[in-house]
Amino acid sequence: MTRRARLTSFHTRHGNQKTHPINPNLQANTNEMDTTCHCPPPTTIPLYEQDELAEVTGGTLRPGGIALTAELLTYCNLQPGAAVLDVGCGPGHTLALMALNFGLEPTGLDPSATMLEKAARNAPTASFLQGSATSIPCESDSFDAVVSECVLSLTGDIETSLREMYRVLRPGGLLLLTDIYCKEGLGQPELPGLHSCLSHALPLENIEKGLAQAGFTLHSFRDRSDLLKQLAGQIIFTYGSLEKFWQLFMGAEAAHRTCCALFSAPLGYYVLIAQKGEHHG
Amino acid sequence: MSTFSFIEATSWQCAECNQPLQAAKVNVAYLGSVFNVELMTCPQCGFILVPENLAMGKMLEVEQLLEDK
Repeated sequence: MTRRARLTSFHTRHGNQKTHPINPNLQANTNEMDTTCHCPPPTTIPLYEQDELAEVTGGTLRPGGIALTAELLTYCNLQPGAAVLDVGCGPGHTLALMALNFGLEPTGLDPSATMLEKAARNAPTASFLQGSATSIPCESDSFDAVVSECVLSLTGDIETSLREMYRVLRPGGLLLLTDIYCKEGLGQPELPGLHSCLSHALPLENIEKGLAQAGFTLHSFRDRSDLLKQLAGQIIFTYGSLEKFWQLFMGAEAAHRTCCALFSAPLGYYVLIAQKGEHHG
Repeated sequence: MSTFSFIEATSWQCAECNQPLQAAKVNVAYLGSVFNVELMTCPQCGFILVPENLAMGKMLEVEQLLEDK
């Protein structure tokens, strides 16, 4: 069964949901995605699909949780009925928040069928698309805002992903972005066997360059590394230690190496809002 | 699910209320962050028992994590 076929059956089960039309020009690219695998090796663990992480983050799988999302959405003051795309929607907590608390019309995009099924349960009124941030299966100028939380570094090609987010935004549309970054000059932590934003974190200058190259104007930027530390502290209180947490997903030795790698390559967490120019197509 | 817990049977009672302690989820504010932890508390006045292994062990680990180096 192909990825597209799974997507079709997914929409059949949730037949009352609408989707943004898929850009026919992107059809070839979308199909290419099925054969050009950017996925990690089969033995690699996708951290964001682990229930243990959801347990300490209230289901949202990222530092700051749903409270940070609400803070961002409040700040942006999007009009009720605005179309918002959540790139890497995961289990759909942001989609539910947008629909129920802000009166927005959210669409969730995620490459994981497992996550999309969870999202459909959490946000039954949202629309859903299975696909990648590097090839968003939507027409240009479709959304008033794009939200992407703790996902960009996972996409493997942030320049392409940011260009795609820019493309699907309407002129004047907002990009709400949060993600892990690695502190400059210290490099990415080597975390073999773990597929997560932690192992793919990039320096802030790469993010800023990608935004500028895509055409975005940076509106606001905040360093929220305190939220990453808060999450790590909560993991210690919940699981006894960071090492014991990693042992849930890997052997004791690998867990120890992971802790050492994270300690020697400190990470940060940022929140930013960028805008697509009013006069750009 | 986590198998780790600070909850354990204890002979401590709340001196003020003369009540045996019960397990409850509490918010611990520490170094500017707030953590949700399950601890033994007085069901009447909410007084919380902080066990030694939390005060001397986990708090230290979290402290090292939260401090900027």
